[in-house]
Amino acid sequence: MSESLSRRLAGLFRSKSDLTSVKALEKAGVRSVNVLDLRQLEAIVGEVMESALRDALASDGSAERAADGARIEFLRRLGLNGRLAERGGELAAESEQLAGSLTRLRDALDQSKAALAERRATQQRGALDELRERLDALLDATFARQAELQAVGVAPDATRGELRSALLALLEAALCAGTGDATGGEEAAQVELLERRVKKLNAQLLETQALLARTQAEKEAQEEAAAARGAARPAAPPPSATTSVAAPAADSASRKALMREIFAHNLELRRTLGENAAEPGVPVRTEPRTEPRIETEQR
Amino acid sequence: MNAPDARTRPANPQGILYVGMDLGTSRTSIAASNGVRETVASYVGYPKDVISKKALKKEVLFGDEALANRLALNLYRPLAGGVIQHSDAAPDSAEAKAYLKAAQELIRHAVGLARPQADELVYAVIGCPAQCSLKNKSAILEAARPVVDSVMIVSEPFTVAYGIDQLADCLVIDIGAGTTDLCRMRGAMPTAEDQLTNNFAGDHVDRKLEELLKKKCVGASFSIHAIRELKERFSSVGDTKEPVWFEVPVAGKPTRFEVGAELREACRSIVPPMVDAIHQLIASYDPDFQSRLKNRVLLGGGGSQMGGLREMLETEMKSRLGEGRVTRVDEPTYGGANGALKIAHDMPPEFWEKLS
Repeated sequence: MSESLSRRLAGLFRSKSDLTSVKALEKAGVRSVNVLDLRQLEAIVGEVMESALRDALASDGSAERAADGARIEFLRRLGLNGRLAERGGELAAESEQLAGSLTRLRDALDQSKAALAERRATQQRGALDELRERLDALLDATFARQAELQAVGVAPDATRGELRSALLALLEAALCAGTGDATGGEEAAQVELLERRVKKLNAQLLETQALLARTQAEKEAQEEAAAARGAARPAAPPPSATTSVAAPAADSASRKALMREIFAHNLELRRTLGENAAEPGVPVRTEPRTEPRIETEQR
Repeated sequence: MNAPDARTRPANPQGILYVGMDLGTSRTSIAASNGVRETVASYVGYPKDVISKKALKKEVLFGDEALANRLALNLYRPLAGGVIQHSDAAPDSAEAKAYLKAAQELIRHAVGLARPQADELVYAVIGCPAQCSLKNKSAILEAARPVVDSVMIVSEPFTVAYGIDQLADCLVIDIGAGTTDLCRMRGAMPTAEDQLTNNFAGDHVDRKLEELLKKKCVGASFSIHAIRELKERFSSVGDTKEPVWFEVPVAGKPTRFEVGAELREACRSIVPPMVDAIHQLIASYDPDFQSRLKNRVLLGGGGSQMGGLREMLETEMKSRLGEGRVTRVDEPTYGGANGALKIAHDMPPEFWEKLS
């Protein structure tokens, strides 16, 4: 890792860290803290990113999931079981929420599908009724015409052909009625949209469940390893060495800006004082006069 | 206190000693880049006559030593309300000159406590009250310039915030002896609108307590120093039932008075103005960030050590502003000096040179 990246990482860690004093830690009962060298952090970050990206590329996962994977890997490498368990809890809650959303979405999809099917059935029934009526009318007209034709001695083959053409026209009209309805098209689009949403949610749920399973596996593995080493685990995790009410610390650019402002203010002060010294008449703001404070003692 | 021996101190290749100074009405604290941190009561005393000079063997005494020998001294408390006394008066007046000289001696003494090497340049950042006037700043500069090689003046609550890296969305309250300074930090240099100063601070408590004790301890004689000592040991705004005993002579005979209620009343007298100021600064802040400001109120300065003050402020804030979280800084005595030292360190060398 280059020196510049190293500096940026150091800056990043500083900007994201909270500040607390050793005295406050002592008050909180902390007797020792783990110190992590920046080089170790660099190495861990590098390895974590490599591992997370490899997994993400292999599973074709989203950027968010890759970041989640990196987080879990980072926690695992740092051996932060408490935080790993916390992340597991967050993922379980997320998984539960996703499953809930998926159920709701699936219900909506089923309803939309049922509505679409019912509408299609209604439309079909209407189309068939219409078809029947028109067929009857056509057949009546055709047979009436056939009677006339028979009177002038036309061949019966011509009557069958006309009937066939008329029926074909009706079927075509019926097919058009079945597929060209605007409302039916909207419902179909709605169903398609819901199907896509269900598919996406399903994929997210699967990813979350996979991450959850991984978190739990890592946690169990670490607990087993700790048990194997015979290490006594504390009842509760020690307070973070960097817990306080601290706000994000200013970065070096804003610090430099502040320094420039302080300097400019002091320069202006000197300038004004110089001018005032040269021109004794220049008025300046004054504070209320305070009482003389030569301290006296009662004897 | 931490005062490395000059002989064992590593050589300073830069030849510059950075000093952060909290020039306070009650105490002056310094933190220096060589690791020295010292605090001294802001008293300067000059022997009254030849006899006292001969007895004390010193031209000038400072801090507790000056207080201990005050009967033989012309005792000065150079600062009041966080600024050099009489700095608003005509600079040629005898009083103004006397106080300025005393302040200069105090700064010289404080810098001397940092034990700079003979060839080291001393660059100092001095904290001043948030709403310090131009004349007051000028007086501090005038007092400091002969003593150090380059000096800058910075708002005291800002130095406290800078020292603990709390530069955004927090409200710093620095309770000193002369003033209570409030400054809201918004990630940039605070402007006049971001700062408030009032005189309801340690000295106000002393005066109020003196007034109450005069009524309570009939016939007793006591000095303001005894009152300050009592306050510094037992100050509290909480409803504690612990008795506080004040032993003072009545007609020469030591007599004990229970003064818990009076002490509490005097200490509580600074709370309402403080809450008013907090309210004012929060209510005029960007509404989207008010909640964050309410939950990041930092108490610094000697007055912040008053028992129960943090809890009382939180209760008052919850009542008037709906919520509030107050945290006391870890080192109230050195908070301002540490921050000033940090500023001194972070200031580019060319800026120091331009002001030297």
